[in-house]
Amino acid sequence: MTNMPTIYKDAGGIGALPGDNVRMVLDTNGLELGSAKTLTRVTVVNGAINNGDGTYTLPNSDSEVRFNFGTSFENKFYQIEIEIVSTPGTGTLYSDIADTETFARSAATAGVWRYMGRRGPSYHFVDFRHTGAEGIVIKAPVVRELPGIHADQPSTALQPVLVDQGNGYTALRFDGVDDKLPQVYPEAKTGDLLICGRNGSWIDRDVSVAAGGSLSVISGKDSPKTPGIAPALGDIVGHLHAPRTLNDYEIAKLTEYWQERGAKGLLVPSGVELVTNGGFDNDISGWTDNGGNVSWSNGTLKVETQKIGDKGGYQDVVLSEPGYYLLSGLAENSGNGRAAFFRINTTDWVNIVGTQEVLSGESSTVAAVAYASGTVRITCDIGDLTGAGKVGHFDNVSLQKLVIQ
Amino acid sequence: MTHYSAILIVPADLLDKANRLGAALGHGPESYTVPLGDGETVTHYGSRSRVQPIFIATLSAAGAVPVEELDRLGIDPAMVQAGGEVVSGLDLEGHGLTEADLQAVIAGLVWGFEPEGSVDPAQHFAQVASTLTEPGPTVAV
Repeated sequence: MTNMPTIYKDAGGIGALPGDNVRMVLDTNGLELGSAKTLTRVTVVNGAINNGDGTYTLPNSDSEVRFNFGTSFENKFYQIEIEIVSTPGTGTLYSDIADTETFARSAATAGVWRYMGRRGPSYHFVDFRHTGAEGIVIKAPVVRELPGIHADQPSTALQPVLVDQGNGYTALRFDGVDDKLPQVYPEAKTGDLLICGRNGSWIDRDVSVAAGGSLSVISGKDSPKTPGIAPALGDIVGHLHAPRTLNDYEIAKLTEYWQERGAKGLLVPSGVELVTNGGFDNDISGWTDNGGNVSWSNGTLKVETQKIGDKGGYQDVVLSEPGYYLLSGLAENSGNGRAAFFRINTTDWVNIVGTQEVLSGESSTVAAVAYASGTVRITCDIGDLTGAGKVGHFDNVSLQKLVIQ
Repeated sequence: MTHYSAILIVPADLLDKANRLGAALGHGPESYTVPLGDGETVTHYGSRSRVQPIFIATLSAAGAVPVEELDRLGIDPAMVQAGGEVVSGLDLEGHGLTEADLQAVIAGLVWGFEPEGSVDPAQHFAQVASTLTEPGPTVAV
């Protein structure tokens, strides 16, 4: 019955099986259970019986026993161990934590059940009910904190699915629309995020999370720093958010570890540059004005316009084969504009398949990934809602196919 | 158990009530997270999830999905009765909702269902989102 070593947890906080939605992912990095939490008060209602020997009887489906374990577990994860001493053999034992039902399993057999939960900000108890046949007897639970940075997604629609790879290992399948598993960081961390998928692995450099902030390794189709990368990675086999910059040797060893578990190697730009004159060294030849009054300015493409809407310059690129392509570049948004955009478009300007933006007043090197084929349009635009005037500069614009290193 | 890819989209002004209804159904606090609009204004929020037949039958019992759709999906129409029991058992008040709120969300719901695996989830979402006609072309913003 013990299933805590399984790192993927279903809606009930116990081990997920292939085909199940995954609600929680246990952080096993240096995992050690905390000491047992002292139960401060026990409440029995609707006929539940305190047998006086550490056991409790739930004689009917309305009866309930509640164990208070103090306030220090706020927003922390923990393991609850509950022993079913005897059972009539049918029915379901329910456990409520906070105001959501996190555990519901048939109590057809006696024994010890362990599951993982997270306490919300307003509740500090766990309670047990039993439906169906009468007379289940349980012992007081043992509650221990689970240190680590665990992931939890309480909303069903946003949960990924556990899939069997057929090689003895499982992976997480995100739907590419809204699935994400946020991890809440008790302490701030900045470092490289390595994500290893069945189709390829990827590194986001210098990912920062503030103390109390959250990180979703995959959110929809995006990683924290690379919009559109998730479909290129496929099902996620594993990930690591390092506390610093990883060197080449460390990256090689880490990807090797997950490759042995079904992941593919690191995705990198092919080295074949597809954008013509993306460095704007001497002029802006190869780029077409899209109402942005574009010009050359000190080795950059300058956009300066007072028109409403997204305006700038573009270049059409013919791709020799379909695949995942990395668009990157430097954007300096000098103000007044809504945002500076890099985009991979179809040439009819309807289907934006990859985009990245730099907010007004900011300058940043950005990247986005998109699956593309045929002729695509690379645009460097600044958006404006008011027509009040906007200025921006673009440099080092690059489009390269992603290949396995 | 057969699962279905479910796309649900609600008007932006019903977002809070729709999320409360999702919570009342036991699906957690935040079901609709994908903003949809004309590039400037968010008019709707969308959701993609995998659901079991009883979920679709429940929406049918609530008046959102016609029985013909259950038939197309191979779901036993008799399951609508079980769905009706789910609807009648909803703790609306406990989630800050009224019967009128429930009806408003159901009336504003844009939906699409396909058997899981028969369609790419992202393409399914884009397909259903493209049926929105107000106020203009719909793209993720």
